[in-house]
This record gives sequence, C-alpha cells and structure tokens, in this order.
Amino acid sequence: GLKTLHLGSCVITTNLQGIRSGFSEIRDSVQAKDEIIDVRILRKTQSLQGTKPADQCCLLHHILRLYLDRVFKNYQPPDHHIFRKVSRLANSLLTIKKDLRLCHAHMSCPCGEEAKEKYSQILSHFEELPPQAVVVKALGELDILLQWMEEA
Amino acid sequence: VPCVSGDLPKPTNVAFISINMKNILQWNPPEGLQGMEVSYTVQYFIYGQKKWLNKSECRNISRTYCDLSAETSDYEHQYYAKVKAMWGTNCSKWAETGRFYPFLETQIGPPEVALTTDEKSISIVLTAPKKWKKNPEESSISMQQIYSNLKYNVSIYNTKSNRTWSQCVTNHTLVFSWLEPGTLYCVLVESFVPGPPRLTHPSERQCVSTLEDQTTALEVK
Repeated sequence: GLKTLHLGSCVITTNLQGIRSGFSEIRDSVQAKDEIIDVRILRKTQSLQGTKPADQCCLLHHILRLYLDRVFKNYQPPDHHIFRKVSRLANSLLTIKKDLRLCHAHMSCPCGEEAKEKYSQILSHFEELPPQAVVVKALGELDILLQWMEEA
Repeated sequence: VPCVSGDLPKPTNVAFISINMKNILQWNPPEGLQGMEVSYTVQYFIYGQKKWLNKSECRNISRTYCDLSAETSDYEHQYYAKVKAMWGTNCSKWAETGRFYPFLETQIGPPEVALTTDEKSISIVLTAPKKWKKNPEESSISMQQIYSNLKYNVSIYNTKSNRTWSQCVTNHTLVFSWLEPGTLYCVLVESFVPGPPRLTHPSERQCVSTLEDQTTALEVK
C-alpha cells in the first residue's frame, strides 16, 4: 500500500511499506556490523514527527541527501544479496528525494531555523565517527528514519 | 566474588520475546550445562546511551528468562541485552542480543472476540489487544492507539462444508451473512500491522452454531 506523507504543504506518496519490508530483510546483518552502540545518529530530539510541519520537508530532504551522497555511495556490502537490497533501498529513497525537490521547486519545502538546527545536529553526530563506521551505523538506523517517515 | 570469565560456555539463543510490548529476554543454558546449578546475570543497554545497566531482579538467577518490559518500555528507543552464566567460581563471557526495536518487533496479540448469531449470520465484535502495563492500576492502552493502521484477519470455517472464508478488516464489528442455518461455524482472528513481517498470534478458535431455520421448524409443527 502506498502511503501519503504530509510534510507541511508538501504532499508526496511513497511505498513506505515496501521499503520497510526490504530493509527488514537485511536489518539484523547490517546492524550486527555496528559495534559502536553508544552513539546514535538519528536521535529522538531531532525526529521528523517532533518537527513543526512546515520544516519537515526540508529536514527530510537534507537527511535523504546525506544518505544518498555519503552513506549509500560509500557502503561496501558484504555480499551480493545485501548489495541488491541496498541498491533497491537507495533507488526508493532517491525517488522520494526527487519528489521533495519538486516541492522545493514549487516553494513548498521551506528551510526554517528548526530544520537547519536539527539537521546540523544530525550532521554533527554523523561526523563524530570514522567514515566506514558511520556508513554502517547510518544504514543500520534506516529503520529509525523509516519510522519517522511513517509517523510524519 | 569475582568469577573467572570465559571458562564457561556462553548461554545460547539469547533473544527478546515480545508480545504487546511485554518484552521478555530468554536464553538457553550453556552447551553441556543443562540441569546443572547454573546462575545467570542480565544487563541491558539503551542504544545511543553510554553504559550497560543492571536489572537487579535478574542478578544471580537460576531461571532462563528475565522480564525487561519496564526497562524497554520507551518503544521509540532501541535496546540490547546480554546474559552471562556462572557456576561455582567460573563464569561465561556475555551472550548478547542483536538490536531490539520494540516498536517494529513486538508481536501483536489477538483481539478479544465476541460472537452472536441468528439463523443466517454471525456478528463479530473485536476488541483490540492491550499494551503491557507495569502495574494493574494503570489505565490500559490499546495497541490500536500505538498502531493506528492495526488490522485484523478474520477467518470463518463452516464445519459442515469444510469451507473457510477470510476477510481483512480495520473496524471492530463485522457480520458474516448468507450462512447456513443450524450449522457450527468456527472463527479465528489475527491482528497485524502492515509493514515489515512480524510473528503473529492468532486468537483461540471460537465455535458457534447458527440458529435453526424457524420457517421449517414452524412447518414441522
């Protein structure tokens, strides 16, 4: 089933359930590689659903760009099965990002102070860790991001 | 008394069993030590925080489970747990779970099912399962409040014709019509949340008979 995401005045539809099912197939093995369990990148205080609606689109747009440019691009899958699953996830998130860019083009994806502040906090958590470790951790936290989108 | 770590094999199959947010850590005794007087100690960890925490009620216990529902009740957080075995002055290394995300992993228990019948139909009223609560005085929270997209898979089985229908519903009342009078039907209901697959917990099978056809009953008189 398609889900409609209402992110302020930006409204998009996505197959969130399919994306979540796809991630659940690799979740245990990806998370098992993340040994730094005392650091969490996507924290409750920066959650999408805890952000005012007008800023949600911008925050999600920036988070997806972070994932696409610095996580999926640098992730080294241990086997072909995971490679295929991760590629499909990346393509799904790319589609969502393109939809958000359309909202941006139609002035319905403003970047207010709250979005900027929360994204910079996420980025600072992200940059706390060594490159290869952070890629594995961020990928393992996709269930958090997808849950944020579910609740947005 | 500190024990010599690593001399014992670790407990095995350490995992959370979660139903309606009642989160029980469960494990098997170490290989080769079944039936021995082994004791266990449990710790848990909130992902992203800084240290492992003790569960005092699960220190030096002989049972192979530990209720961590209270400690893992913020279902937007993710958790780890670990357990080690002790026997005399020896103890095992820790055996750890994977990352446990209650919101995504808890099994949704079956609803309560109430059936009423007449000659050719069965009315079914479902009551959503309740979330685990710390103490009985607390007000109940329905799992529907946590999962707004909670659905039910209702199956009805005609014991005479051996035919089964299933229907997926979101509302709490439904009527199966065009049934055969004077026939025993059995109903089974399963709750589920669309999304990543979860283990499910069907309800007890409930059987009820439709009433006899009153028209033929009158003619017989």
